[in-house]
Amino acid sequence: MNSSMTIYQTAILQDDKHTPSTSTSATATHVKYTSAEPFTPKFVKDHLTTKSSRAQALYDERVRRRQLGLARRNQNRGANAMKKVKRGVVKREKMSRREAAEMGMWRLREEEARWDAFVPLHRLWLGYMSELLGLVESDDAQAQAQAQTPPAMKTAMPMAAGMHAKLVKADFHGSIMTVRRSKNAALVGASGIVVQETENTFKVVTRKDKLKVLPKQGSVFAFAVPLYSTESSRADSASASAVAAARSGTNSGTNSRGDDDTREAAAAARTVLDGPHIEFELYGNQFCFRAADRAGRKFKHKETIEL
Amino acid sequence: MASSPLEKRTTMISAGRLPSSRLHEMSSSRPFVHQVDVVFPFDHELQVAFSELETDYYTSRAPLAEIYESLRIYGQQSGLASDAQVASTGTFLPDAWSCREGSIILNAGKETFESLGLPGHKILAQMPGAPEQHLINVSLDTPSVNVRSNDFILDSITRWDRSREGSGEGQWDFAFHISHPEKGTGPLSLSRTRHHKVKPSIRNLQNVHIPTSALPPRPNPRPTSTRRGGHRDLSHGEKTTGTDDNDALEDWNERACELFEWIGMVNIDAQRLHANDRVDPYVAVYSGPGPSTVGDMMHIRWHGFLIPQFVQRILDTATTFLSSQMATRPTVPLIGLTIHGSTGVPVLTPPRVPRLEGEDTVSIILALEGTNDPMTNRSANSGDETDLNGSWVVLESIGKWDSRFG
Repeated sequence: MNSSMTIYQTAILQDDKHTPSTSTSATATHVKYTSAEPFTPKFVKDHLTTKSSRAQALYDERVRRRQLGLARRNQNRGANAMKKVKRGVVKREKMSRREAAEMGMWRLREEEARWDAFVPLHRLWLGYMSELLGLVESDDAQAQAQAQTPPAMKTAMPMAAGMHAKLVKADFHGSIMTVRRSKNAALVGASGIVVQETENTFKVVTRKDKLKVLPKQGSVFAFAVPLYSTESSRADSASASAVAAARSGTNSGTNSRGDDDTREAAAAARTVLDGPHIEFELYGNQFCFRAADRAGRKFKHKETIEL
Repeated sequence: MASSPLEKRTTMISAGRLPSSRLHEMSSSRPFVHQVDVVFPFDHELQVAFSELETDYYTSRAPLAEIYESLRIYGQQSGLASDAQVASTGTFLPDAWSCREGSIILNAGKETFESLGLPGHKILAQMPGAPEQHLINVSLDTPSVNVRSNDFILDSITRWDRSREGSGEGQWDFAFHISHPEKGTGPLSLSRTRHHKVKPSIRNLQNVHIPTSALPPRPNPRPTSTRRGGHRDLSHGEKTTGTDDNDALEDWNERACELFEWIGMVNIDAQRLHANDRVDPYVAVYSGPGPSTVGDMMHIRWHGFLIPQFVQRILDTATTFLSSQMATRPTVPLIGLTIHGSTGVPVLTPPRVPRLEGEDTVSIILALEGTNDPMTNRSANSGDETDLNGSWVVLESIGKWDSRFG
């Protein structure tokens, strides 16, 4: 501190401006600087040749807010990193298909292939469809239906024609896929919840807790989307389950609790086919793409799409 | 309006002597027949014998699922699953079906087969131009392990019926014959069916030209290669007269064609056969097989849903009568039969494409050999017995997309 004060004092004495007097007196002039009014800003502003009104602005712009890089940036780091990847020095973040197959990443064990275990996934898919297709709430639809005005009825029924473009790019994991027609007679009628979609197949879990692989080639599939939004029904079921849980803590009757549980289980097991729905057909021959590739693909119009 | 060119026909001719097991197999080779024609020179006894041959059948309209269930119940109750003979009579081909010997044969087009989900095989894959069709064989008895359960079969058939309703084809029109109609249920019951009696229609053609001599035994053509490697062994004294044998065969074939053509003309009661026919040669030129005489012909026809057993009865009546003539003086030198198969009904073997405009015809000539002019010998040589042998010639003709002959 004494050395810094000494420096300040020395600077001030050498400056004619700050010399309180021109006389060469033996006594030095001491100027004190505080943290509220440091030396550097005042020194710079005082020595600017511009007008004093702009000095503050210049100081703030050129000195105070200027950022200086302390470390030198390596401009060739990206190119060097790519060379290392090509040489195989750097390990890829993505696992190869062979590695995934060896590790059994996409393999479903027999005890894991259960219909009831994937119904929640199906319910999620229903919510996804409701949001994607902009389905109306069932209460709104019923209210509009009760109004008995033709325009209201039309707005309650979603336009299926406009859904095609969205469905083509949609994700089908969790949907219930059924084989309607197929060149392979053994596949006709096979149905289940889609647990994995690859480029050429749908892997589904059937109601009999079997994992089936349905080739897309040579088959026509059918799937259903709900007619009304399932978002409110999910919220209602969630709130109903919460209320039931609260009641169960206070309710002493076991029969009513069992009935509530049964109703909740039945509600949780409902699929799109148990309610009003719209069914679409999917031509597998024209659908042999990965889900990720399909999202950005443009499907051209074709004259015929028969098997 | 330009007429469509005649489609290619495939014919096969075979001959033999009576009695023959080949004639016994003839009716079973054509399980679904819709018409049988018999022509013969007038003979009262034979006419009476044929007049007594009658049969019946039933027609109805119902979904295939109900028919399937009714056939299963009928087979279980009567214990005669193979007794029922049923066939669809609709015109919406290629979808058709038939039932015989305890199994239902479904013929489904491409789209129908892809939606049915029942295992089958594609027929006539090598036939150029034939539409894609599949044959499905469904047993009415308890299915085997490899076949889907009855519930699945019923679901598939019900889906088929539903799609037909949606496409406007409606229910199935079908005809059937069962030995115990009182045991029929559902669409096979008497209350829901229409009964048809098949009686012979008899026509008498007077003063027509009748060939007096039938066919001689068919000459065997000289084989072109009798030994391995193509060498011919002449150590048995064979004469190298191959050309003569082939000429004889050619002449025999010509004679056979003339006779079969004559039988066809009788079936349609052609005016060219009449003795007093004086047609302008510019209009038509036809001369019957000679030598011939003028006499009366009988033409008897049965038309309807004819089962193989009934067709065999007709055939047996003709062969029995001819056999009885061998010991006595022959009055009927030849009998011509024409069997018209139903080409719109699917059969398992041999596989073929069901077509309404198809052809599956068998013409049979039953004749007596050993006499040159039985018509004149009857009056001139009364009381004399001749050494007669019965012979038969069969001409089978099929249309395209039929693999009967390979």
